[in-house]
Amino acid sequence: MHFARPLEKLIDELQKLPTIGPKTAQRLALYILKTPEEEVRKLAEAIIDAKSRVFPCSRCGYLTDIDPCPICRDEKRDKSILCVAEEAGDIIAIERTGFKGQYFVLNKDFNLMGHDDLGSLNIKPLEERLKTGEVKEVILALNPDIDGEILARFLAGVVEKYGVKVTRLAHGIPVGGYIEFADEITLRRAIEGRREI
Amino acid sequence: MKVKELAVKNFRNIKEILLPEERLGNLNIFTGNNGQGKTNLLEALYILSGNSSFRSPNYDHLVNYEKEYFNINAKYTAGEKDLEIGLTYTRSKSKEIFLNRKKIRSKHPYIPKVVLFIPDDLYLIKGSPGRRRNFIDFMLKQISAEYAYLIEEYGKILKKRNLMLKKEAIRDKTLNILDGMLTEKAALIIMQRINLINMLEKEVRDIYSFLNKEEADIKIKYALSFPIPDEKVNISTLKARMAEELIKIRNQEGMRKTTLLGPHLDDINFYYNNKLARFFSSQGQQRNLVVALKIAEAQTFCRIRGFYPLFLLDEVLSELDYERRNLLLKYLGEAEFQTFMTAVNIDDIDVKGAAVFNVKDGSIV
Ligand SMILES: [Zn+2]
Repeated sequence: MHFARPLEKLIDELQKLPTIGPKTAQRLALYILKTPEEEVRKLAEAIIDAKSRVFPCSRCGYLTDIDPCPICRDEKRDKSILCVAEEAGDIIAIERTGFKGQYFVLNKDFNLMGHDDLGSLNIKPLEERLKTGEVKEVILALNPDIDGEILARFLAGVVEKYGVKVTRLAHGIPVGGYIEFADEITLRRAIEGRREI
Repeated sequence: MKVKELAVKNFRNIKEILLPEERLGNLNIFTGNNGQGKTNLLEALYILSGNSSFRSPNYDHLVNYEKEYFNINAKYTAGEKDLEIGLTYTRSKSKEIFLNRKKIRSKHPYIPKVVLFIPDDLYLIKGSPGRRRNFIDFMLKQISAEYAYLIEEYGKILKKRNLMLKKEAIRDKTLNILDGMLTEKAALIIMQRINLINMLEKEVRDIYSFLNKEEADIKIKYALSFPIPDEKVNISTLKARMAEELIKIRNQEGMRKTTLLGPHLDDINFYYNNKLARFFSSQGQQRNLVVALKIAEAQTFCRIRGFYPLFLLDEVLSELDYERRNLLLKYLGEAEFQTFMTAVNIDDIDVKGAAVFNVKDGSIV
């Protein structure tokens, strides 16, 4: 198959995105070429804009364009319940359930199969928040696989040092299922059915 | 569990075979020359249990070479329940299992349960420890889906732990957590294996003396890969002891880069009149012991689950002498469980009361 060089480059770049295979990349690239230039420019600018203006909140790690993020600023949210998740994507899913506590995002796809080790996790900001004494309960919203279990045990050890209660999402999430893809009802049930560890 | 009807289509050399209720009995014998399809029928029954075949893990090998799919259908009872199971496999696709015409996963509790005895099992006593662990695990996985899940989880944690050990510097923090997870699962696995072995031991003695017309003291002992006094074996001490031992050998594991103890390395020892059968029993005694163990497997299964599995034997008769062959057939003829067996030759055995099927070129003649 021969493509014009710039087209080939676009396909290559698109293919680097998660869940995009060669066929989808090709379809997306051809679609972009058919789209009016103005629309394409908007897309390109949106990508650059988001990349340059969105960053992790210094307090909770959730993605934001103001620091602290709107969730951390929201006075109506319950500061005594802190939900710990691995990725910002997990927070988006949990927000949809109507959870009204606050968050802490590790921003790290924890995977022992790769090169990561617990020692390289940055948990200082979490400990800073536990020191203030305002957090009464930490909910660990971690994936129900072996890595999630390792992480949960590690974090439970950290949190318990500050005398704070730790619970973990327990029921509802199918074994081998992932939080980001769990539907709202299952996830709400999981939050209600959390158990102490 | 009793099969009342079996229909097999496009399976290996079988184009189509139907064994109707009026022809099936408690003891069913498939006879005929080699290569005619006797074992294929046994194999068809076996894979209805959700396990992949004992002859080939690849389902494509099971489809008749002229066909695109195979289909196995059985009507059977499990306890009080009347059930019908269908298994269909189409080339290079995944298998589909239907219970009472509803699609199910292969871990369904009412899927047929089996005890399989193939000539290879005669190496159970003196073969590798892995063989003996598989013997116990196969039973436990059929008895409880929870055990099957436990073994799977243990395997994942172990794999992760071994990966950690392969890294240059051992990370104690992560290893401590992994050890906690590993020993929790290990203790549960070991405890269930020991309980099962104790039940097997109770059953096997009577069966052995019936089949051999000889009293023998048979003991089965679980051999742990770390020391613990017999009287202290319970879930919490198993976990605690294993954790202690793991700490002790951590440096050694760091050098060897693998986990050096746990249920994946445990063994099962068989004793015949107080001597380790692996070393001190004759080949004949070992063979007789395996036959008795397989029947004990069916009996023990029933004690736990309340119904019998199907008993499937491939070519085992030819391994036994004349007298034992007939004693085994007498036992199976009177047993409460249903047996399916293959035999090349039935000339010198007493088959009255048995349903005999002559298999030739993939058909019943
Ligand atoms: Zn924030």
